[in-house]
Amino acid sequence: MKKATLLSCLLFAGLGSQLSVAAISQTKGDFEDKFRQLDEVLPTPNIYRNAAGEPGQQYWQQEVDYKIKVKLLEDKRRIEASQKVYYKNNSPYTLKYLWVQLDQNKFKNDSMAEMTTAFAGIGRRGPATKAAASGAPAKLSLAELRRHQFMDDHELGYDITSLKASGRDLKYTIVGTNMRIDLPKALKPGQSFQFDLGFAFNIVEENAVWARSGYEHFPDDAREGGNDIFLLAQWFPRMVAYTDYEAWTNKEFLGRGEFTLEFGDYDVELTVPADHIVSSTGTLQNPGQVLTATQRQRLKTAETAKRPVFIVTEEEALENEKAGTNKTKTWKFKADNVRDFAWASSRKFMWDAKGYQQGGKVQPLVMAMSFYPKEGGDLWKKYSTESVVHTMDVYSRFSFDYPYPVAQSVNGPVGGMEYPMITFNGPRTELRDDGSRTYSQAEKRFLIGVVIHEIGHIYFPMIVNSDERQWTWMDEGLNSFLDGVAGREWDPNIPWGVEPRDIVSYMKSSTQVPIMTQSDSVLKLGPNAYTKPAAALNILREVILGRELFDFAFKEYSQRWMFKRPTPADFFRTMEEASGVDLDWFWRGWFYSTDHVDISLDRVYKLRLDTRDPDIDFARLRKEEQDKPTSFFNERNKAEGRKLWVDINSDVSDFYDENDRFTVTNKERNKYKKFVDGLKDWERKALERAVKEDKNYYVLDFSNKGGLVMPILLQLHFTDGTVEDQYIPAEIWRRTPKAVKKLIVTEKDKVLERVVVDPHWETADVDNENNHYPRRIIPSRVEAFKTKKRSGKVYRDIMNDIKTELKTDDDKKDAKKDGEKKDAE
Amino acid sequence: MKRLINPTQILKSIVAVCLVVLSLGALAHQQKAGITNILINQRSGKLEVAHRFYLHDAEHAIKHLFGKSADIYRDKNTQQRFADYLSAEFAMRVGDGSPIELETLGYELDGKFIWVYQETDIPQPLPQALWIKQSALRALWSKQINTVNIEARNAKGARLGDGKALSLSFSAGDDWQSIELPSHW
Repeated sequence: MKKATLLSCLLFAGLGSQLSVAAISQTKGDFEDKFRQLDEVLPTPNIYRNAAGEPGQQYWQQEVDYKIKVKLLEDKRRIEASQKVYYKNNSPYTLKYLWVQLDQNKFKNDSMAEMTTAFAGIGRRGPATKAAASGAPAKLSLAELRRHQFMDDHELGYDITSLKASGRDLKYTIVGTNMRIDLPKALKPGQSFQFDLGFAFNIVEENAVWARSGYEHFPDDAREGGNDIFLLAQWFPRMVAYTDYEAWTNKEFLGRGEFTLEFGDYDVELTVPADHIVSSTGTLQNPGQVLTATQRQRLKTAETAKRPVFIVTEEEALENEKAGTNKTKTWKFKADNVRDFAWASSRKFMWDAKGYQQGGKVQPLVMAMSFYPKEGGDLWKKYSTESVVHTMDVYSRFSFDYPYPVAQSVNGPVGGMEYPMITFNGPRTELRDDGSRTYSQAEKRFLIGVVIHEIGHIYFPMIVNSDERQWTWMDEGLNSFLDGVAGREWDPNIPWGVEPRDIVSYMKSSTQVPIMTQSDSVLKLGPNAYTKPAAALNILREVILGRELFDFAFKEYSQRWMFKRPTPADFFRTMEEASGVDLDWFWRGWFYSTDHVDISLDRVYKLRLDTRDPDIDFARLRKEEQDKPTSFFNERNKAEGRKLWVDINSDVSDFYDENDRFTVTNKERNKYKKFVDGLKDWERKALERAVKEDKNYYVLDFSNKGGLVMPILLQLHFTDGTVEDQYIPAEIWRRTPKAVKKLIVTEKDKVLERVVVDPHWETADVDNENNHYPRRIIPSRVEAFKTKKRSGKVYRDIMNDIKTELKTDDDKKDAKKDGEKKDAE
Repeated sequence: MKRLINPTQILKSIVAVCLVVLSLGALAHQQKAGITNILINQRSGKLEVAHRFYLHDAEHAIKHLFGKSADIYRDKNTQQRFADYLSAEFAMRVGDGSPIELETLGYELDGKFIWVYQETDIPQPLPQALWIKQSALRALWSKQINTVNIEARNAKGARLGDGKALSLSFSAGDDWQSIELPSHW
């Protein structure tokens, strides 16, 4: 990708001494400007994206509308469809060709994604493989074999059955997961082009292939041959985004970097077996044809219900999944201003709904709905739809009113994945031998957590349309930050979200890449694109900007880019511009570098004002002298009973026996008077006041061992037992990023006893030991564990332990039957 | 050393794998990232090892390892078994191949994490390099990446070195890896 390469050259230019490509570089000495403005790192502002991080005065984006008719062939597990695409060129450029994404082609055996899957490579989406090593044979998991077999047995990828415009064939060229359509006539700015595309593909079995969608088979259902749940996403050929910052974003789909898409209106007719229940992006247009009168009535009731109302009850779903049908029904959906379209279909679904009355003008009523099979059980009945509502409640406060008529959570084989108005979520209950279904506390947390996270994605990136193919952190990082906020407002006793301390071990490690790395190249995606940016935003909000400034700026970003396409620079610029706080150092440290936070308080020393008044200063000096430890030599002489000459001969004495070297004479007093007389009025006043107040002056020596500049959070402990917090902004490091000194002045009676840096662990400082002055023994994690009192019967959790079941051999067999679940994205 | 596998090896692999694990699970926010912090602690004279794994990851791992009724949050027995598993998946040795035997001290649940602690006396003299293997969860899903950080503190408790940890990364294909220890440790 030529543009990406160029972009990254520019991006890394600012990283400092290790890179010699920098346009501007410090070539003498080792000073590193941690506060250097990001000017040469960020793209130059222009009429499309301005310097404030706003859409520019001539911001544009393409519009693509789709009319799709699709048939789900259940027995063949196949999709056959035709679509009309209306492409509106809003760009100021003339286009000779269009690019279309063919994501299903990723599953072809000769796709770049398949061909470049490294055996036992890192970070792959897929089953485990293990290279041969130290005498152990290489290992293919059975899941990996299953995947190979499925790929061998099924023809995967798209069949493009026709491609026409105005009845005439269009020339097209398939390049991996992309297709170039050559236009019969160049498409000028402002013009539209319409074409018809016929396509079909065989749906992948999600559990076999590890995709973001597909079918899941339930062989044990009462119906002969079992049932399926179909989750359809990346299912129709979608237009590649054409942007002002990268032109066609046609980087091959390798599986990790997700999707960059255009907004548009959708009109979709889904023909499915007549006994299926469908959940889809959009609003149902023909409820009279596909729903019963009872179901429609229940939907109406649900609009104002306090708790979710069943549209299809469990009993009805169980009855439904016993039989099948040859008949079909066509569900018609319309969705306006969405960047994608996904749906789910199964005869297994029960369906509940609850109206979210958010008020406002945009969308006063949103229907929160969940679709799940019996395997979802009580867990889903209780918490799925409620989590959907809670998410909208919290996220809207940070952004904008939820702008769509529905928000849905669907249970299927996908661990967690998001689309406009619809999300796929994986948690399930477990069937017990007595026929009951139970779930663990962990599974409950997963369900609530994943629904919040995926519904949160409807805001970021489904509405604030960041480029997922390039920057995973822009949606995952922002969304992980916000799901932490929403989770804590659900129940703070559940360990949600990101505490700065959680990212410390990752940040001090040497095996990481900067957050600003293209998605397919990121090592350790979880900590890199989810946890670290979320922790950074948490720190930005709680420590650096404060909630008021952060929330204002974040909301400004959300609203500026609602239904538009932001880049990292737009986020960085908006947060800075709207908060009024220079944050270039923060983005540079946290997003562009792999530095970590480690601020050390190396020394504290006390200064005392020299009054120049001999009557004061000489007495102080005498006191200092007296306070020094006495000589052991003299002590031991005394102990031995040595008699002193001066004592034995006390009759011989003189002036100096009465007056020590600190005795003040008029000579000093006259000198002092001359000094005082020579002072200007303001100098004399300042001196007099300082002498009178006799404050304490402390100098604190800090060093920055981690490289990342951060504010210094000080906690001062005084001998009178009081404690005072002080905040020193990060800018203190601007001229000497490796070490700084800070003067602290306290009242006479406030004598400093000890100082702690970052006492509440708010900054992700990796070493607490050097945060204390004087140093104290901070037990290591292992030492602390060893000193905990672990024994004694009082510490047993009998209430819990009493429920422990006796283990039997059956447990091992159960393990092999365990269902498969995939990652949340 | 990595080799190409021949067909016999694949057959062996299949057999091997039957014993290992069948299906793979993952879920919401599963990080599939473990961290092991090794501390050469001159104050206590111990080489300390603290493994930190996400309970989200553990929750799904145990179902493959111990059966679907396993409950990492409530069942102490499961916690102990998982802690034992983590201890067993980690190993250290010195350059001549002789193992550094670790004593497992126990485990604790803390927020989102399960921690497992091990230690041993600091080998004398300190070897020039440590050989480390961290296989936890890597046979279950290919995305698992385990980071091992190595740090040292002097007798007063101050960190040695420039503040960065020495690190190794273990993912699907990795076996033993070595890391040189700075001479001033």
